[in-house]
Amino acid sequence: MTEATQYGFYVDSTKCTGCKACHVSCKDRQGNEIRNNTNPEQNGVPALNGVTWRRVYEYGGGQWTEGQNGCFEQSVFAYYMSIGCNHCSEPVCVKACPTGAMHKRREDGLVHVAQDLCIGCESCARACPYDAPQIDRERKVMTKCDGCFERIAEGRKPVCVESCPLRALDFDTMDNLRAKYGNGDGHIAPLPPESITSPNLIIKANVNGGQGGDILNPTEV
Amino acid sequence: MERRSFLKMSAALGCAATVTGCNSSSDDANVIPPQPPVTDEVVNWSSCLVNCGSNCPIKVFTKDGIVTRVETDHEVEDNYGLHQVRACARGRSLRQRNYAVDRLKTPMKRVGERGKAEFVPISWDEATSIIAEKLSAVYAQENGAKSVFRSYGSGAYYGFASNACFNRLFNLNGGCLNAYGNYSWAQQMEAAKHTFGTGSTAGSSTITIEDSDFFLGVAYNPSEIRQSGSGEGYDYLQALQRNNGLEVVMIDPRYTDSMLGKESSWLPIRPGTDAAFAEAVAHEMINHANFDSQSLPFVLEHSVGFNKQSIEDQKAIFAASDDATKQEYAKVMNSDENYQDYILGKGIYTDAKTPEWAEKICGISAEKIRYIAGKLMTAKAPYIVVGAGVNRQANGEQSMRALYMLSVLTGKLGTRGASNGELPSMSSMSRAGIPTGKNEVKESISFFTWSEAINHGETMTARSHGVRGTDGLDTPLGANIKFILSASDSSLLNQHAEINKTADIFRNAEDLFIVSCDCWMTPGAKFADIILPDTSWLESNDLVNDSYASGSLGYLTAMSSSVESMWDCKSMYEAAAMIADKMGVGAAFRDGKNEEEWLEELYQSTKANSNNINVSPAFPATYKEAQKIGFFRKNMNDNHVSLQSFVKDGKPLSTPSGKIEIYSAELAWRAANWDQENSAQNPTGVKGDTITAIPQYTVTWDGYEDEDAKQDYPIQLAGYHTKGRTHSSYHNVPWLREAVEDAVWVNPMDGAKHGLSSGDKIEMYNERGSVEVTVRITPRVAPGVFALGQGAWYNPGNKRGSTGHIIDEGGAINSLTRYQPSPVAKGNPQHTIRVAIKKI
Repeated sequence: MTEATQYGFYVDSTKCTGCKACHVSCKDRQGNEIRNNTNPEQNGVPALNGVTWRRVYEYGGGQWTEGQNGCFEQSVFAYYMSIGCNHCSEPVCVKACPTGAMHKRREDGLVHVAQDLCIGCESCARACPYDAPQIDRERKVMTKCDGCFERIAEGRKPVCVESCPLRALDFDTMDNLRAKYGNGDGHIAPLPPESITSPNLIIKANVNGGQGGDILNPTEV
Repeated sequence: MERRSFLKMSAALGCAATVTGCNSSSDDANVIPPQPPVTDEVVNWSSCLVNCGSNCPIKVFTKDGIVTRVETDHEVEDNYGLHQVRACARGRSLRQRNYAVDRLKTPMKRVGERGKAEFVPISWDEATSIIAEKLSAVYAQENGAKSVFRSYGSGAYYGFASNACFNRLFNLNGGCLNAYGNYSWAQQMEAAKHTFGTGSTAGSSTITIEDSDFFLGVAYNPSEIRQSGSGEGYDYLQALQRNNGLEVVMIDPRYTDSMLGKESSWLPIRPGTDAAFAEAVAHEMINHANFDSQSLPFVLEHSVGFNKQSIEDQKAIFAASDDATKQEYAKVMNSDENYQDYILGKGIYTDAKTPEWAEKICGISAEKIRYIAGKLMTAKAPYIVVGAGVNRQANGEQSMRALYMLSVLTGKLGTRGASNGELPSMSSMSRAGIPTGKNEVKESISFFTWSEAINHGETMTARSHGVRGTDGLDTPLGANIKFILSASDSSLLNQHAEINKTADIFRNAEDLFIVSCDCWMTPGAKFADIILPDTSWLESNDLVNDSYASGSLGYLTAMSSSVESMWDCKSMYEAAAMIADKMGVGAAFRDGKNEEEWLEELYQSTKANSNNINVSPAFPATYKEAQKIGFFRKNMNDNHVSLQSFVKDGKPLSTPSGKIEIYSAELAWRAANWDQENSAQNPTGVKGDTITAIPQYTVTWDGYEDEDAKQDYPIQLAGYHTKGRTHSSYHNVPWLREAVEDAVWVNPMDGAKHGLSSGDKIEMYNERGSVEVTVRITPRVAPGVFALGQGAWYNPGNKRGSTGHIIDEGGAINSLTRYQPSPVAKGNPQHTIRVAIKKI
């Protein structure tokens, strides 16, 4: 891609504590946009269960052994990885979309779904190695992180970034992010290799990154 | 949506995804909703007022009177020191909580059995008339005021329309029974008082960690407990980042989010065995080559009780004192019970507290115990901090005191970077609150013993239950609790120990009348006789500060109502005022002021408070203007160094001796006089219900070494503070239930042993109850220990469990905890739990 502007995210996995403020603040913003909310006193605010535009993966592992006298010996580690959409430079979701609904915006590099074109086939969701496309089962259309484009237009950061209590997230043009953070430490687990989609995502790696483990919270993502 | 393995499938899929089928939208009712016409968005400031330690500001956006989203503080450049105050996931979910389907919408009267949640709607007029009549009848009885009780209530820290409004009501009618202590810190408050003359929150400020060269955190977990983006958790992260390279040793049964690579090492420990660990570390410190030259002079100068002579000397001072209490102390002090002899196994003690002795109990190897002792003895400024989880155990007073000793033995207290084991000191901005008036009742019970006082208040004494304000040890309180007002409160059932026992007390207490005032139908509200629906934070005008653990930043929020009061809800001020009207004290209650005038008065008093000087932005002239600005902040410049004024400036401590009390004369006196396991009169027979003048590891009921419980209930259950709730607050918010799964943590070794996998449902049970919970296999918890987030809402189903109790499908940990007041504080031991399990 050679667009002048390409936005992306920065994630500092040394600071993230997995608090989910990003996950929940995103649902508060976007959930209200995709659901008619004219009578919450009667109906409550929709749960949108399973629709998580920003997911916080808890990754960990290590071994336990029984030591002498019943003492504990272990090599346990864990860290979190908060991921929305990386607005990739080679977006496999766009390639997988049969209708052109999934598209990459020329002006800012954000990957959006044109919901009027979307047929809800979930091809994009199957293609994306980050699980960014999140199907809205009720409306049968795909939804995803839209980079809070209306906030960007006002000079704000996406709601997840501004919500982060630990200041672990950032969002800007990739040029600005690189100037501020460099190229980062490379993508640690559970992130897939960058070669698949050329994500616009700079990672500051947790000291525990690089160890083999598992996603410990599959039900939360 | 269907979940895939995040990483595994991606390589196979690569870019080669193919279209595998398209479901066209057929549900016409659910096409993209029409966008409502654009109207002006209105912004108001509200606040999250739960008991996490921070009252984060919430910016509420409304359109046409409906909340459309919430944000948080973003009013200044985010520079640490005067930074943004960012709410956590809980505050960000407030729109859903505000409009929760279980909001209480109208006053209600109970028509079925207590707990069955059978109610009929009534008017405010009828509800407040019934309450006024019941209250008047109780006040008319002998000692009536002592039968009126406002239960704990830490769910909404308002300044004006708080649950203290009900205290104002009671005090206009003769008062109410007092309570001391709290569910968070009861035992550590006593431990700190009898050691340092403090209240357990006078440790060195978090910011001073930057000058430490060794950090020992025991059950210290600010990243989960204090999640606010300006609270203790954020200060902790900042301090660690400034002091890059600091060795951080964390001791906890769980690998917590306060670790995640921020720690140098994690040493898993068995719940409730902290004192054994501490004593073995102390043993190695005392035997360390540096001890005599480095620590002993400090210990002898600044403390009482390390050796025999120090106790003899203090005893002589007390005996010669003209203070009758101190003379009483002198009579019971026994210098044979000195700390050095106890740790080294000398004098009257036979067994040295060696690392080899401790490792079998606590699970931390002798080698690691020696390593920590060596570090504490060689560090220039060791920062020791003990989280409150240690204190909520059976005889948690002993564990806290045992750990506090380590800071004394370093000889480094008073140095910046060192701390004494107490929670970090924090300051807050000041805000005026609703004046409650004078309570004519002088008696006070331990907060934890209220449920017992429903049937036994008449006979509870200082000797038996730590009742305060009575004459001497044996004057009974003299009244049972007959009227409970539970407002913004879940101690009524869910957060109190032993739910099934409390529920039985309620079902059988014919003389008792319960009023619940809350926003939602909580498990406790189902046991109320009258329910009053409170307004939510987003509906409220109020004035609130930053609460008690909000880090180095102080702040105030001038809350303004974002939406009209919904349904038939009224604020706690209005509710109390209506009852006051019915009791003929309405004019005195209102004091001639309406809500606006009250808020103006409280604002002016807050504005004039010298603690709030130099706030940013400056306070405007009136409260109305303050509401428009909404949010005010100030760097409190916390820079406390624990015990510095005592060690460096010679200012005496407020202990009886004025020194650090390794040997507490007051506890020696209580040991001689209070009811305990084997006391001469009224032995309680409760294992580990003992008081000793020096801290001592104690084998207790349901502890790791309880041979009586081990066979039937082989698993230690650790309760912890989940990030998805604050205690029980926010449990009814679906977004949070999705974001933070309520599952019991099980070590992979235990998973294999019990044949459990993630997602399995199990019954966990003991003699007190049964819960149904989902299993999560995770390496982040020690073997032999299961861990369950506390605060889930009790939800009895219709199945009976293995011990005959109805299974709690909600998974409230208090279905399994025991009502057994601790020896000294008469506090809550809600982390001492043993269970057995059964796969469902």
